[in-house]
Amino acid sequence: MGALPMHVLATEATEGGEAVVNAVMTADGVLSLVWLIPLVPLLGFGLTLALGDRVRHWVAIAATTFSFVMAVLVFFAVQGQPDSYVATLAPFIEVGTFRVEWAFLVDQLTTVMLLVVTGVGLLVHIYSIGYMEGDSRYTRFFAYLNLFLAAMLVLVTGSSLLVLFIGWEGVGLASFLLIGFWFEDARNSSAATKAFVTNRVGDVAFMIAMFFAFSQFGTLDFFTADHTGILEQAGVLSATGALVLGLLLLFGAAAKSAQIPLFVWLPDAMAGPTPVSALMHAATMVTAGVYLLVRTSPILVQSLDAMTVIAWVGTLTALLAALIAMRQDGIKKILAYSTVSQLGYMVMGVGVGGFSEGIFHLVTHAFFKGLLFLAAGSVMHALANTESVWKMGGLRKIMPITFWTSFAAWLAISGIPPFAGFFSKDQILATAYDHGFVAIWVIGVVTAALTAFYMTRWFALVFLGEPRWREGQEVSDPHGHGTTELHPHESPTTMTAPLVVLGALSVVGGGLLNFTHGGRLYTWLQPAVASIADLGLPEHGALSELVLIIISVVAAVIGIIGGFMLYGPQRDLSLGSSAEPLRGPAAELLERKFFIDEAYSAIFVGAGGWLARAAAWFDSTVIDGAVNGVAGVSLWFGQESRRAQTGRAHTYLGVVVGSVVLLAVVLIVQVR
Amino acid sequence: MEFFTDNLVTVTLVLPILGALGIGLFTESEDGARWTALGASVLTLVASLWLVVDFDPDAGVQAVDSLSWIPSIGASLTVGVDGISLILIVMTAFLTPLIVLSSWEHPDRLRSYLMAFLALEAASIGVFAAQDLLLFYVFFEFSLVPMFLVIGMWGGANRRYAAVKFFLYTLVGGLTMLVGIIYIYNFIGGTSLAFADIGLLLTETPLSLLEQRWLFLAFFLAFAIKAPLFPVHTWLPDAHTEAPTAGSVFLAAVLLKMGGYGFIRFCLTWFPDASTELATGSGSGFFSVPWLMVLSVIGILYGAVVALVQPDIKKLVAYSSVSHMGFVVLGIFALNATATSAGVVQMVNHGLSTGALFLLVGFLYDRRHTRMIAEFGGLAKSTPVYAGMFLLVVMSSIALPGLNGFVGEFPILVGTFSVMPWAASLAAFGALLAAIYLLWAYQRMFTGPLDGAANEATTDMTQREIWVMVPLVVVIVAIGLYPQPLYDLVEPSVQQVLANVAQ
Amino acid sequence: MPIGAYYLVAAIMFATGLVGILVRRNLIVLFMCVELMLNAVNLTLVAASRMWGGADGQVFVFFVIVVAAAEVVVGLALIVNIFFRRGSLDVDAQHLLEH
Repeated sequence: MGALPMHVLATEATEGGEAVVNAVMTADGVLSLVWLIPLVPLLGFGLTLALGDRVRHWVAIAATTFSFVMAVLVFFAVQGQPDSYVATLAPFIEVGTFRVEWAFLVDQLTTVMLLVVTGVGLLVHIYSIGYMEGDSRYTRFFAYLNLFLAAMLVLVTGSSLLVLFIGWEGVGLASFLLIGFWFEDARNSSAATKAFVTNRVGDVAFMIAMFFAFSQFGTLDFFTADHTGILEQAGVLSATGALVLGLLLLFGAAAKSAQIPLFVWLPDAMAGPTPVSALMHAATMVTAGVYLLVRTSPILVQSLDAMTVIAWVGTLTALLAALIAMRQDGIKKILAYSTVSQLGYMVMGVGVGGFSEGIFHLVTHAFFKGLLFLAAGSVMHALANTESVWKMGGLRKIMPITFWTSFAAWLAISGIPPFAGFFSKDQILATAYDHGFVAIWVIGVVTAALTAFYMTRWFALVFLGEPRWREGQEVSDPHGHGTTELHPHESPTTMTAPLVVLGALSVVGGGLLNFTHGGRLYTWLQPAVASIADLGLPEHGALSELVLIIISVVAAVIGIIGGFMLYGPQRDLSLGSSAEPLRGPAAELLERKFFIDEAYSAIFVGAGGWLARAAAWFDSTVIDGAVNGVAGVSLWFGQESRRAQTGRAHTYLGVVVGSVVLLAVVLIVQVR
Repeated sequence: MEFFTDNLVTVTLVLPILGALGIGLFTESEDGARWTALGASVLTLVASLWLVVDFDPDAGVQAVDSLSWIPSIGASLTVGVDGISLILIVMTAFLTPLIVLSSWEHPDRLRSYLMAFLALEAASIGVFAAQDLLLFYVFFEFSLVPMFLVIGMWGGANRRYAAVKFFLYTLVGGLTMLVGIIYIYNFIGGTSLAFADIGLLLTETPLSLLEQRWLFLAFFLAFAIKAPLFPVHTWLPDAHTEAPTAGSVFLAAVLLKMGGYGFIRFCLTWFPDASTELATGSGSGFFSVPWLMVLSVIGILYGAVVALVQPDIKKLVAYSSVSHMGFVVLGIFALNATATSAGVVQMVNHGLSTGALFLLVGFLYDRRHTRMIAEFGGLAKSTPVYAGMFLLVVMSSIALPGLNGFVGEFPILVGTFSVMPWAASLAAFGALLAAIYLLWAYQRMFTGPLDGAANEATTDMTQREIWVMVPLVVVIVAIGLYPQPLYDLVEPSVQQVLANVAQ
Repeated sequence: MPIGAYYLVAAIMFATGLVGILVRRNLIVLFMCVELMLNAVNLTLVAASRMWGGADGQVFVFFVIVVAAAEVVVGLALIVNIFFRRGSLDVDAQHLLEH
């Protein structure tokens, strides 16, 4: 507290034009301390590592609680203010024309992200107390969780693309550490490396986007004192420039948010402990890409082409992932592909001009998908880390809290009103339709039906019907910790309490946020996202809002009915996975994930490896061969020259005589 | 006392020499040698830091000490520092005590070993501080001798080959530079070989483009071999692999930087037109291609690609050095303040990160006497502290933001992008490749099941080893979070060099 | 007699000596051939001195005779030593000067 360097910018708000740009002002009080929100978890990370098992989870939870409380305070402070605020901490790099500072931005969009990240983060921390109990590296886990939180918070509060990128890569590091947490199993660390490397591909695109942005705008700050921030002068981009920048940003976001073609790391990331999957790979880290796109929306709206590409990438990803999810058998794998699919919806929302709608779905998704993952963890905890849904079932009476909260989440994700997911998904589809992207809307509706279908399948196979396990059955731990006897029971309170909270939010969250044009969240976010007024998109389509809602709900109901018909408790599924009704070559294709992983492996690992070996051969044989060749030549020369030293007098005499004769001839000729 | 503060640069230069002589003449036990070496190197560090305190970044070359040497050809013993020299000297002085500490228990002829490194330190500081052309040349070539001995006497199985290769290869470059030096000497009429005088003369009567091209080539070869730049880099993998730990550290951290330093000090300053031509491709015919950028980008990508399939961890790191120095040279020849200053800062960062990496690999080699990645597995379980440090240094090497590698690499690429977008975009892939080969190596060595009794028995870091690494880790993180002091030190000097180029 | 006859005889002598040192293997014979060449030179010098009418050539001959004598003394002493050490006077068998 006290006097901190404050970045003072004062302008009027400008409406219309290419983008809605906030006035950026400073204020004192809570907003000047926004940098504490990421810093405290970072300290929590360091302290937990340094103090070790003495503190267990307490430091981490305290740090997370602090950040959550501050996020709430910041929320209240931002309320009623139309502006964005920048708090500058210190210079970072200033060399030549390049200048970047440790500066943090707070506005309406930031507060939404802050609340989601710290809120879900806190719930996951609490959940982990129960879930990770007994783990040999229990304390380390909480340290890494705090590290992740710190990086994610830097990401959402960064006031320039560079600070955002620092958080962006930081969550990549945390992801690497957490996915590979149980590193004794080579598959886990392999998944961790895959995640990091795939993300790095997107990071390269992000970096090139930053280079390009800097060359166009002269800065990487979102807002600057003289209105030259990249969001403020987005209009200077040429049509091609805007397209290039938009596509680069999309590619960067596609890695983090698991879109085509870079989604392959997310399903493998399920190797990490379930709280990690819930926090990072459902609620927060994967949403960073969506956040990036929404934050840079003033740039994106400069190019309708870029937005169309974004919309299609999101749509196709949503469809592809939903198809694959239909035929996966792992309790977490299904949810992983579901996450990819829902992220596709968010990206679709961004692409069709529904920035706030995309964020809304981000929020509701954090609720119900986070809940679903935590519930999956609860089930796995009860069933000794069983992963296949074909070995579950009949858990309704045994784990009531888990069951009912999952029930709420299932309805939410399927898009049944008045649960949260209905509002957000419907708004995205409505926006797509209204803005003229009819094909996208159709695919979105179909995908919604598929979503309802595979989630019903998930729900039914995990909780309903006859148990496909026996009390006292011996199962081997997939993490190699020997065998355990199955005695399923409800999880401890530390695990069920977060479930209840998220469950409640899944039920009422959508309604509370009252998302309609003019509703709470929409109005809240308006100042922070770009206006699409200049894109020339239509305002409404032929069908009315009500008709669109009915179509969405009907699609969801069709999916649910289909799911129940095939997997409901009335069916005899006691044979386990061989009872799977969806069979045939098409289903096989889905189960094998369209062979995308195999294709990537052949192309990148295979061809890449060949290229690397060829290069290494080139280096040692050709280039080094040339070097050794030079040495060889001089050695050869020496060897051959040595032959003249025969040690025989006659040789030398012969040479002398010959030379004299030669000399005589030369002299005589010259004299002539 | 004033004598010391007035001649700080000379003091910094001479202290390691005195240390080496002290070890040779006055100590008999290994302990005596150790403490003398440590004392001398720490004192050198103190002296260099003192220089920083008194340093004025905008004042160009300062703290100049001059002594007449060979008046008939105008050679003098002149030393001084500007921002670029100083930062490299401090880095050298910072690393030498750590090297001494890491060699504390070296089993073979310890006294001579430490003497060699002190001599190396002196030679390196001499290279960076020299303000006279002949003096520079002497130090430049002299640094080869202790390094040759270190590799040849204390190195691995193939040390003879590696040492001779290193020596001859680098020497050839030095010889072409000597031809250039002789030409310059004739050109200036043989009056003075001091940098200041040569610089002055060259601004008054600049060399013709043809002369510049040839001289650039002469000097360039020496520094390109040193840097190393593709395709004259193949001495590096062998030298690094066969050298003992401390030798690899010094080679990677300091010797390579002489290449980058030489580019800035000579090529950019004295042959600006030729440099511009080759860096931007603004000439005609052969010179319409920006060769310097092309070679740098090739070096970045090629070094990384070859590193991917190395089974020997030291060779992997050696090729990663080729890749990282490619970034440095790319930045230097982008010819703008951002990229070139970042290139200098990245030289320091690379020295710290790669030095740390070699030290860590050395600790492992001391225990297991193998460098083959396949021999390791699951080490994070038996050596958690070591694994943590290794991961941190790996992250620094792959330019994770928040650590030092990023704060050099990013401005290099930003600056390069403004002049040659394709080069920066291609170079950015180097960051991706670095992540692949380093993380994959980490994965193979540290994760997975602890297979084999050898891996289980590997002991974690000792107190001494931790003390060696802690300063490095602290600096890596500190620079990563707040690099501005480095840039403040370097940028004005770089601006002065570039102002000359722009004309 | 035409002066050329003397030159001719000297040339034949010189050529004989030359071929001799290139071909013959016995050290003493080698020396004799060297002497032959030296004497051929002497003959040439005397004939030339007669041709040109000055005494220069004849004076020079004295120098040559002295040098030849000195050389023979030293050379024969060396040959005696070589014979004692190696047991043979075959010049091709002595790889003394080989690398």
